[in-house]
Amino acid sequence: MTRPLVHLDGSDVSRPLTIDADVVIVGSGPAGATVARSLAARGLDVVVLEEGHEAKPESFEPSAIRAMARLYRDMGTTIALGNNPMPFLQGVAVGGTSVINGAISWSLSRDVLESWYRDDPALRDALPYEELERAQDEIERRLSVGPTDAKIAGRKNLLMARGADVLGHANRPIHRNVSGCVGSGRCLQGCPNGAKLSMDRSFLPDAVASGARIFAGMRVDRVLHDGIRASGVAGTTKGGARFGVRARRAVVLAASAVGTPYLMLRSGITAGPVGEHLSAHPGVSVTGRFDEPVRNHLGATQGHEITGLRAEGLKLEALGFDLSILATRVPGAGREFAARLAALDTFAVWGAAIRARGEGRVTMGRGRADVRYSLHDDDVKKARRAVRVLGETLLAAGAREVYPGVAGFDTIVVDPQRLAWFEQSGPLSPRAYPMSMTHLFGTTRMGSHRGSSVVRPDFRTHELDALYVADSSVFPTNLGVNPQIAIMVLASIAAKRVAEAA
Amino acid sequence: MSLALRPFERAWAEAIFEAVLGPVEAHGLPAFASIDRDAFWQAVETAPGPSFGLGLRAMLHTLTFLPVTRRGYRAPMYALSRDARMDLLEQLGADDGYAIRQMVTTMKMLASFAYFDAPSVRARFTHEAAR
Repeated sequence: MTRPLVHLDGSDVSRPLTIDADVVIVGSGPAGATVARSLAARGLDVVVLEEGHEAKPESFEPSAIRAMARLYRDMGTTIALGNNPMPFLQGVAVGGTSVINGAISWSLSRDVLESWYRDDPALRDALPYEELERAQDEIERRLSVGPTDAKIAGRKNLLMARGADVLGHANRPIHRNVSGCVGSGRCLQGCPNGAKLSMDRSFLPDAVASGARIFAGMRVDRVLHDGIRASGVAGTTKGGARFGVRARRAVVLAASAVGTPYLMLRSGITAGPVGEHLSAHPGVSVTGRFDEPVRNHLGATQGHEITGLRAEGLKLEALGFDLSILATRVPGAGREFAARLAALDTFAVWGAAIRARGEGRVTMGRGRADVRYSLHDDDVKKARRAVRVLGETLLAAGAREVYPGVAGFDTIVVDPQRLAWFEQSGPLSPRAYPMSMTHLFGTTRMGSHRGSSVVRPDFRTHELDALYVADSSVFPTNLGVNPQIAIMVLASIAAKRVAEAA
Repeated sequence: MSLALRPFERAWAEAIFEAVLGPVEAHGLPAFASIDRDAFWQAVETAPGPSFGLGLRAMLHTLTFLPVTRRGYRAPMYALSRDARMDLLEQLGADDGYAIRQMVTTMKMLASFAYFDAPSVRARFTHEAAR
């Protein structure tokens, strides 16, 4: 008989609880799940702690607000403050953000890795490309990573292919970790068909089958240590009880580039730039109105991308939002807005992720992480470029008009030459651009030098023995592409290092 | 102070939502007043972090009294006719001030969440894919 995914939910725990394990992993997203799967398969006694609850496909609802209330941290209202305050979204459920992402699966690119090697030669031995490639192949096989099938892509994705072809931009169907996707367009609300192979439907069941125990509804408050070695974690159950996990061999933090440094700072683990060097991929989007039905909320949520501008630090992709979020990308308020809502089926939204130079930091706020992030001047110029290309591509695909959504610029654009002018002369104020921050990295960056990094090349912290970080916090830089596969690949190497040390 | 809006504050917010959404019923869509908003309010008042509740209340009070304090009207937002509220929000949405624009954007986002949470509205776009 298959074991249940969750061993115990903290909502049911109202008395103090102590758990023993070889390894305790904080976080059940792509990093934590990968480490759990790998270590459990090696015979270690593994406990995974997740703050959120198990969420099953049959309970996922189409309404964005209900999904966000249930599956997103703070209902998606977390904001990074800075020169352009930006929301950032994180999943809080068993499986972490993989439950609510677009299933986009990009390989860890060689050029990024080479830049890491150049900046810190010790990483060439610690993260050899061939080892990463082998890990990646295995991960992609398990997660059925493959290109989006045109049959379920939906109009918004096919239109992007058309527009990009007209303009000569390299483009392709997005590679995703799905199996049996029918194009319900609900990746961001949780796949109602269970077709997305998020961690709760892939690596975590694998880990449980190998003996790992997953505890949901358990918020970790601090890492236990004696200043030399980490020995476990302590926290609070959703039922209000204190709990502790004693880890005989290792504590692995995989709580995101926000949660991991916050937990370390709360625990007095401060050696090196803990919480510093937050990097990200800020995103902009442009909406287009077509004469034909697009039905943006249907078809593969994110099924097509323009890859030809990666060297410029831009990756463009179709965005499949719920109706409510699509509506917010339509200009106007009042009478004009009502008229446009009636035609909502004819709108498409495409976005660009910017490989930004901007940096930020995670610090301890009052009872929660305080996140600051500011765009670099170059990032604003990239945003201008992205708005131009997105608008041009929408028009080339047949859009009657496009809405750049940039304060101080035209609300409606119908002429590509106007967009060309915009790239040269559009606003340079960061706040002119409504943006959101995706893909966070670097807040406990890896490196061989103790002063400039938090985590050693073997994923152990410089400060404490037996304390490892396995999530995107360790990435020395951002990637320019969607990171979930890269996170899993590095986490699988982290798991090997934990096993070797154990 | 409770983070949940008081009944009169909800009414203020809904007066803004209705004006932001505009005369949707004139375009064959369900009127905002006709939809059930309870599930939306329950989500908004329980799920986000505490700073959201404080921010929402501050934003709501500012926008509600902005007609009086900044625009020379003699009544707060909720007491204006729907046409006057729409006129005002159309202007504020294009305001030069970042904070004002952001307030309108946030209200538009919340209005859209509330409106498209209603099954009767979603049914109008009824291509919810087969599960």
